[in-house]
Amino acid sequence: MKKLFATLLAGAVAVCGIAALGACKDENTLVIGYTLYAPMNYKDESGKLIGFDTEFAEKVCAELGYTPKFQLIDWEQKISELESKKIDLIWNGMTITDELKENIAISDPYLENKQVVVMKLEDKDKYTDVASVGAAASIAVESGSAGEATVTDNGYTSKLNKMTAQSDCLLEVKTGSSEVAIIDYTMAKSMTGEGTDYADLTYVDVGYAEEEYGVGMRKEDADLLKQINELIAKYKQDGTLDGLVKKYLV
Amino acid sequence: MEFLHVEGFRKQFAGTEVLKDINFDLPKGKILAIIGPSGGGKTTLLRCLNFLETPDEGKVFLDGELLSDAKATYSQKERREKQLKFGLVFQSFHLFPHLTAIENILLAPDLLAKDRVKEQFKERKKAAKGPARKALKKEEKQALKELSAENKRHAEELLGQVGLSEKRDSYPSQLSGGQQQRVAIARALALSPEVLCFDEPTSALDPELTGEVLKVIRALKGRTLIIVTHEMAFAREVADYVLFMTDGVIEERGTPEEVFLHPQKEKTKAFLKHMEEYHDE
Amino acid sequence: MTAFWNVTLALLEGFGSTCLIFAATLVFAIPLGLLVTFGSMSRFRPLKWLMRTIVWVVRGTPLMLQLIAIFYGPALLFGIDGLDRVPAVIVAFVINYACYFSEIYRAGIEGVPRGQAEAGQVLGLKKSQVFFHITLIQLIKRIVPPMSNEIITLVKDTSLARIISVTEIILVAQEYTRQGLIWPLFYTGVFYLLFVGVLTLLFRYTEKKLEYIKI
Repeated sequence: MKKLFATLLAGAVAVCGIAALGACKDENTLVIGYTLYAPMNYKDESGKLIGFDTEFAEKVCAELGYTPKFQLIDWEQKISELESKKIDLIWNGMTITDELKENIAISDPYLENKQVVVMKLEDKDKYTDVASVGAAASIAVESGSAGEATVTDNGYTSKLNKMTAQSDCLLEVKTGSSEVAIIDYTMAKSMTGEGTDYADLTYVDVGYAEEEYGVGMRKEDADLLKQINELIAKYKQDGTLDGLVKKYLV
Repeated sequence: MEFLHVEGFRKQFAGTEVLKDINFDLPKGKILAIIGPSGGGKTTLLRCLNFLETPDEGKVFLDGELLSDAKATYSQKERREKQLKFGLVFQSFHLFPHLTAIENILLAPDLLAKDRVKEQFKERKKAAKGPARKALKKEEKQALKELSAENKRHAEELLGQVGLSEKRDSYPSQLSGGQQQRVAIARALALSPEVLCFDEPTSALDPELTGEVLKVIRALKGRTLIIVTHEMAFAREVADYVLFMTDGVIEERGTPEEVFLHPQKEKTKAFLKHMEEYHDE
Repeated sequence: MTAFWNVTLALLEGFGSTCLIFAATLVFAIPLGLLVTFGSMSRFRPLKWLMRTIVWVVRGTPLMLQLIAIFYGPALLFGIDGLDRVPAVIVAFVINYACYFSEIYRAGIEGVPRGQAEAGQVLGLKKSQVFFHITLIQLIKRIVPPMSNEIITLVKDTSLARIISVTEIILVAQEYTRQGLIWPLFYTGVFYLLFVGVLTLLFRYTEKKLEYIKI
C-alpha cells in the first residue's frame, strides 16, 4: 500500500515538473492575444491566420526583431492573460476606453472605429437614428465591449443580451433571438451583406460617437509601448496603415 | 493451566461493561459450548479471542505460553501471527461473494504461502547476483507452486469433509445458507487454527438447514472448539464443557450434565426453562 | 463536400484535445481519488479534515473557476510562470474529478459489509491484502454505475477547456461560427454522441462481466 502511494505521488510530481518545463518562454517572442474577429484577425480558406491586425502585428514585430506568436484567448480573460504573462500584447481591434486605461497600457490609436446597428434587411427602415434604436425589443452586444458602453451611454432600456463574442451577436439577430445588435463597424462591414453567411443582415451607421483602436500591453512594459507608438506614427506617415485599410476594410 | 487459558477479560463499549472479568480454561481437543441470552457478551468474547476487538484488560495463554496481553502493543505482523492461532466462523458466514467455494477456501492459504516463501527467499536473493539470482527466482517459483498445489489438495479434501465436493466451483450466491456455512467452516479449517470458534453458526439458517451444519461441526470432535450457540440440545450433545454467560459474567460453568440437568443458579434455571418453552412452541 | 470534409478534419483535430483531456483526467484522477478517499476516511483527524475541506472546496466551486484559478492564479498572485494551457486544464480536471470520484469510492467502501474485511482479518490477511483481494472488486462492482455517470459527464465537461483557450472541439466549432459558418457547432454533437455511445457499451460490458458477483 505504501509503495502504491509513493508511486502515485512520484508520478504526480513528475507530471507537474514536465508541465512546468513546457511553460518556459522564449525571450525573443512576443505572444499576441487575439480572438477570431473578422476583418482584424481571421483565417483564410487554407486556415492561415490573416487580417488587418494580424498583418500589422507581424510587421511591427519584424521591425522590432521579435517573433510573433499568436495565441487565441477568451476575450473576457484578456486582462488576466496579460497580467499573468500568458500573453504580452492584446492586438485585436480593441477599442480604447478609460476603464481599460486604468488597468493596462494602451498604444496610440491606429484605426478609427464606430459602433453600428446590425439588423435584418426587412428592418432597414425601422432603425435609422440613435433614438429609434431604443425602441428595439432586445439588443445583442458583446459583454464588456464598446457596444455595451454605447447602450449605457444612450440610455437604452431594451432587453440587453450579453454575448461572449461580437460574432455571436450576429447569430442572435439572424435567428431572431435579438432584434438588433450593436457591434464594431469593421466587423459589421466585413461579415454582413451579400456574399457572406449573413446575407440577410445589414447594418446602419446611426451616428454614435467615434472610437479608436489601440494595442494593449502591461503597464510595466513602457519601452515596448514607446517602440510600438513610434512605429504606429511611422506607418501612418508612410502609408502602410492606409494600405491595410484598403486591403481589409474597403 | 490448561491448553487454552483466558484470564481477566474486561471490555467496555461507550461506558457499558460488556465483559466483566472473564476467566476460563479449555483442555486441548475439547469442545466448549457457551450459552446464554443475547447481549450477554458471548459474541464479544469470541471477537476478543480473535483479535477483532481488543479487550481493555486480560491475557490469553495458549499451550502454556502467553499469547496476548491487552496491555501490550503488537506490530501488525505479530498480531496476524497470533490471530492465526484462532479461527472464527461467523453467524452470517461472510463468504467472499466474488470467489467460488474453492477460491474462498484457498484465498488466505495461498496469500500466506506467498508471503512466507517471499520472506524465506528475501535475504538469499539480496545476496545473490546474476545467474545465481535467477536460479533462486526459479527455486522460489517452484516452492510456491508446490505450496499452492498442497493448499489446493488440502482445500479439496476439506470440501469433501463438509460434503460439498460437487459445489467446488459454485459462487456463494448459488449455494443455500447451510452450504455457505459449510464452506465457511472449511475456509476456517484450511488454516489449521489451534482453537476454532463458532459464533451462533446456525442462527441465520432456516430450521431445515441447521442439521447439515451441526453434522459438520459434530464431525470435528477431537479439535479444540468454542461454540456460542442457542441450540441447547446440540450443546448438550457435543460439548465437554458448558459456560452460561449473562450480563458480561460467567454465571455458571461445568459439564453439560451439571449445567443442563443440575443448574445451581436461578438465572441459569430461568434461561433453560425459557429456552425449553421456546423450543416447544 | 470539401467544406464538409475540411470542417470534419478540423473538428477531429479539436476532438483530439478533447480525448487527451478526457484520457489524462481518468488516468490520474482514478488513483488520486482513491488517495483522497483514504485520506478522508483516515483515523488521523487533521488529514481527514484537510481532505474533507479540499473535497468541499473543489465540489463547492465551479470547475470553470478552478480552471481560471489554476491557469492564471500562480502568475497573478505570486508572479510564478505557472502551467501551460493544456497541463493547466489537465491538473484542474484531475483535481476536480479526483474529488468527485473519492466520494463515490467512499460510498462504495462504506457499502461493502464490515464482515467482509473482518472475515479476511481473522484469516490472517494484511490490510492491503484485504483491500486488494476482497474489498476492491466488491467496491468496483458497486461503483461502476455512478462512475459511468461521472465519466460521461467528464466527456462533456472537457468543453470548458475553451475558457483558457485550449482548442478543443467546441472552440474549433465556435471559430467557424465567428466566421459566419454555423452548422459545425451542431455537428460537434455527433462526435460527442459517438464517443459517449462507445463508453456506454463499455460500461454495459463491465457491468455484465461483474454480474457474477451478487452483493
